[in-house]
Amino acid sequence: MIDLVAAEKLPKEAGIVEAVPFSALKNFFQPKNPGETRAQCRMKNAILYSKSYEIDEGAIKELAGVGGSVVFSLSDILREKGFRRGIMLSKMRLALSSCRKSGCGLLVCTLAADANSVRTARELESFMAVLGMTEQEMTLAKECSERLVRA
Amino acid sequence: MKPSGRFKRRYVSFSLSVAGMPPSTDAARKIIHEHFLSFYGELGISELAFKLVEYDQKSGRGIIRCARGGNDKAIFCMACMHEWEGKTCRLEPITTSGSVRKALKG
Repeated sequence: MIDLVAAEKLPKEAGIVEAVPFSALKNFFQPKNPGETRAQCRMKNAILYSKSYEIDEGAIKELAGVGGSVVFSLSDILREKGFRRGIMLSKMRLALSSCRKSGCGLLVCTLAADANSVRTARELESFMAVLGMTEQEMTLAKECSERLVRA
Repeated sequence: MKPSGRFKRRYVSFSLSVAGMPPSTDAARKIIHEHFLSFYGELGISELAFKLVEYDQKSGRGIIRCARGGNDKAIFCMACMHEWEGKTCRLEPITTSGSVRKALKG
């Protein structure tokens, strides 16, 4: 499994084949406003990361059309605590549901900025399961990360 | 109750470290119990059939028990452990097994 991280030279945990820093990817986008989101969703093989997970359904449809994917980051869960962590999980579930409806790709990673945030492949799988992904979706998410990182 | 009538269990072995060092048994018990309780609540813990089975303070390794369908939930909860009282904390799941004996080997 390939993991996307935020910093370079982080240790690789068990089951992680490669830890790729997102800054090395040309198709990784982190839009700041909805207008920017729409524009970036039209780029081929775009990887869209929204910290708030409030992505417009129209943007997700466009992203699905160009073979792109939405990022689900475990660091966003680690960053929050208590009630806010629950809200973040809920937003992720809603974004996953939108992706499922439009057939958009899913990319699950840690986006770790330090060694303490790096997680094993098994932990990422459990994250996918808790978000509500099926076995098939988990396999697709793993394939999606490899396809888009190599694109 | 017959053994076949009991709920199916899974044992997850883990490695715990606080600021890079394994904590004492009492501290580990407190850390794990409070983290699971704050994450899943009392009802969630009962559904998960969570229990800290064993912990070795020398190596920082231990075993937790959970219900068969709840091992993903337990592992995710462990993965969400990030810090404890301002110190970096890591609760890393190692293996999942159906018996304590096999989990000890992992």
